[in-house]
Amino acid sequence: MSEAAKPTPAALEQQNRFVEENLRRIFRQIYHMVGNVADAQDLTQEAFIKALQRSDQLKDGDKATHWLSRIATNTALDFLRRHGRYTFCEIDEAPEYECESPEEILLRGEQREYLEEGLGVLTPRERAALVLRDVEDLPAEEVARQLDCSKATVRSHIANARTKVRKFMSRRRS
Amino acid sequence: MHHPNETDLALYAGNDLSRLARLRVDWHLRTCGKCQQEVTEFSSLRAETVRNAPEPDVNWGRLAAEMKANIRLGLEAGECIGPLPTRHRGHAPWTWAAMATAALIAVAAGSEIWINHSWNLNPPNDQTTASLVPATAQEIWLEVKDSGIQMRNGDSVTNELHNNNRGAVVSSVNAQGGVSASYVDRETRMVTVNTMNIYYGQ
Repeated sequence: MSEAAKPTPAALEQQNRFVEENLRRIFRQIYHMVGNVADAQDLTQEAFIKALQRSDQLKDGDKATHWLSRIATNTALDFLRRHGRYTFCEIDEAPEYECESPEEILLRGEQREYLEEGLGVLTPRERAALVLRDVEDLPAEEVARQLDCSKATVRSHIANARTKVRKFMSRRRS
Repeated sequence: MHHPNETDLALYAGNDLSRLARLRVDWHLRTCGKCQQEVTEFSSLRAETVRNAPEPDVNWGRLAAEMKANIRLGLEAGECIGPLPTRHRGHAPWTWAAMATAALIAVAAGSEIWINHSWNLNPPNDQTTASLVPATAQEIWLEVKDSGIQMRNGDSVTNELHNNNRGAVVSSVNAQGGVSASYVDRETRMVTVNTMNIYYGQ
């Protein structure tokens, strides 16, 4: 059996810290791309395992964070390409805001439902670009790095995504 | 009047146009109500996307603990198998990393026990000895020990034993409220995940 060298206690400590600091952010990012907790959990685990198996990449903190986000984006994109699915949790599972009136909750539920359906008409890369730019609020340069394409391509994905969602929403509301 | 195209207006609304293109659209918007209206719609849609982006409604502490345990297990499987081979273009995409992850997900050799009972869940911080704490001393306990998963109901004890030829056991309380014990088999190099869940009814 080919036993690889076990990580030292210091390396283990570094790995644990890396997971602790980034787990929630990466889970949330993947969740917004795939739309459900079970798939987001599997893909988050997969992304961290891929990242931590290249522990030499963890030395530079900032670089490692960007590198992990990129792995997470690609892992989620691969999944969406393979499965072509995007399923958000049922509306009644989504959290409600305590100060909202029943009418506001109903309206929010309706808006959320429209938005989820609107995101469903996008291609995986358009959806990824829109989530990273508009929901995660990353600059276009960072989105381009994560999607491994040019800034011009990212702009094209973002513009297509916003245009498609707008058309979908206006059709739905009319 | 020459209007900017829809793509430029969509990008303008999110501040994603180059400086020069942005100036051109700025100039046009001073005199064009129709394009102003389109930009407003794109901006509102963007705000709506952020506001209505769904947030997962989960018990984060428990989910995070489960993910950390699974990540540790996946890494241990990789260590057991050996270093990652260098990936070349044209080779099969099944790297050891992918296989370890697939094994983690697919090879869930689990046993599940259905028990009619009510429970108070109290997941521990220590990931090596996950256990469920029952409401009273007479009720049922689930505990992951080094030898296996043990279920105790008063004087009665049931053990789900681990394979002897295994690596370190990683245990966790799962999101469903059961306990899981996972390990890498040294001989077969497969990941085994044993799970005991409690299902209770009225």
